[in-house]
Amino acid sequence: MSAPFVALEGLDKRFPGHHAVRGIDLQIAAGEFVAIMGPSGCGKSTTLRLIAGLDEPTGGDIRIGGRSMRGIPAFQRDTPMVWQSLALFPFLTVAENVAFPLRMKKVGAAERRRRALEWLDRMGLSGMADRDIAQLSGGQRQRVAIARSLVTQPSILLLDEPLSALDAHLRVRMQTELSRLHKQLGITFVYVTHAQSEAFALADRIVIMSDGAIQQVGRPQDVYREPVNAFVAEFMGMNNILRGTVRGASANRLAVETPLGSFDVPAKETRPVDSQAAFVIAADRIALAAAGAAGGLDATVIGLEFVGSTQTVFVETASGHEFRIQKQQHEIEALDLAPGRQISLSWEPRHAWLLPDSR
Amino acid sequence: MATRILPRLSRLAQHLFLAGLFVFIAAPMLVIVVFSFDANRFPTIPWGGFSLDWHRAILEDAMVRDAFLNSILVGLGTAVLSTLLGFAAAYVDYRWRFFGKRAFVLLVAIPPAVPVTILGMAMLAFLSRLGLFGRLEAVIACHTAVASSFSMALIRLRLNDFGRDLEPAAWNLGASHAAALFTVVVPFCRPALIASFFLSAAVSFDEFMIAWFVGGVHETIPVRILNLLQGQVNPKINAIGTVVLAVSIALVVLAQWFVGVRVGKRTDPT
Repeated sequence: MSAPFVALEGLDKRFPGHHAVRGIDLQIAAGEFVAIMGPSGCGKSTTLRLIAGLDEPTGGDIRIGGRSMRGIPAFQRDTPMVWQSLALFPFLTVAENVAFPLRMKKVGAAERRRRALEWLDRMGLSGMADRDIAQLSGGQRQRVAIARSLVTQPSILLLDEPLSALDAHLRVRMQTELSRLHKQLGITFVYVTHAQSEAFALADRIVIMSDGAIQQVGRPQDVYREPVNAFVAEFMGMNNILRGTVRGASANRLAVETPLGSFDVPAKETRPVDSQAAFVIAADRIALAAAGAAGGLDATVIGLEFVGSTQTVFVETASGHEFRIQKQQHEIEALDLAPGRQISLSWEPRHAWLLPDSR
Repeated sequence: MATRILPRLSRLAQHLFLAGLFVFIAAPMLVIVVFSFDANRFPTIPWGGFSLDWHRAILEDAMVRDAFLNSILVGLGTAVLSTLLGFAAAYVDYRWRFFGKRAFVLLVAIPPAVPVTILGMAMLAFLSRLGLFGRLEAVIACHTAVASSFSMALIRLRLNDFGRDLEPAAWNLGASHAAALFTVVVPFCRPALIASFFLSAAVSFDEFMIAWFVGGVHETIPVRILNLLQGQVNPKINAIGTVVLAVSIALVVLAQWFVGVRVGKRTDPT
């Protein structure tokens, strides 16, 4: 990566009785779209507030465009943010809201209005300029909030769960819109969300946080297929984790003995025999067959869950280990699955992913 | 049929009761207004005919004129100071958490709960030691102490609807703390600030006890009325009462109008 545009260096934030951000390091390139994900309370929003200068770090530094942000108050940073609550000013009209940052920069009234209208046009809100915020729909308010953040032509935009207040249909439309804006403007977007679908649809890189620390940074497919540890594997949702002991190691391969049997796992690095190892089988990479199939793992179906055109099948082995399996609707129908039915699981060894951090 | 008549009767009874209640409250005031235009020297029935004599008389009475002027000065001063202090106190309560905050809020809220006689005496004792007794400024200060409680309550209520993110959003968009205060917090509170202004003026305009204790020779209108009453039964009192009533009602109506005008337009708290 060329010189990073935003750099978090050992960034740390303690609140009384709560260590929100634990000395994280992160580099973001100019023009990159980075999504920070994690469960609530993981420190992702705090990180964003620290970048914006709305909270004071208790350690480390933030550099934007090479310049240390230490001691620079929020209002001098030019790091506009789109808020989860939108934070539109209810006593100002739509155009006045969009023009607010320009007013703070002492831009003249006529010029302010011109640029606000330009942005409203761009966001498909022409003719709404003189309305009250209360007269707009949720999607329109969202656009006003985005226009207000971009009217000063910043080189970075922070977004804090901006779509969580919208219904599913609007959310997808706004995702497309944000993606388009990001491409057109070419500026850096830092996007905080707990929704995997948004992060995967939008971001160039994904940062997974937990308990104030960064767990993994990578392209969406990397984080999804090659999680570094059990937390990321579980946070990604559709992964089955198996734990066991290394019984044999050859070139690029480990034999791992688990309570369910011994499995072949591809490995980039070798591990000592008798060490602990954990590996992941993605839910969509497990094949189902009639019970008793050779080389398969017998299990009982305990439940089915619809997720659109795919279904999640929950099964349990005799020893009580639960698996989640994702299948297309028509495959489920072919197998005639129902709770209580016996089936056989298998996977290709090359689809097993050894967790680099196998704790 | 009876099933239809009964609810009607019940509704009629309710309306009559309400009307009766309003008459009971409004009648004494109405009597004052009516007799202030009565040509008779004493308020008696039958009415002696329409006359503006008593209203003219109060205009010509220098002491009444001074008292009016004093009341307006004190009311204006109180309205401005009390709204400023009330806003400051409400904002401090909204914005910060600090040690002793409960005590601070209690201190602001307590003056209206103290009997005015005690408040008046205490202020008299305090002010005479400071050598401020008998000045209009002293009356303004004491009225402000009482009225700012109402101002704070009114403005604090408005701030409840002020989204937690709005001020940080203003900073984020380039507003310094001072700029955010004046471009975001104050405009948001404007209806409450205006309401607080008129309400404080009304509180001050009607207040007797404190003005009587600390005003000395500077009489406000309520003090003048009592002094007139003590001397003799004077029909001028009805005329003064009518004017005071009109001013007070106007102030309260204005206060309510400014609180109400935005309620209808209020957005969901963002």
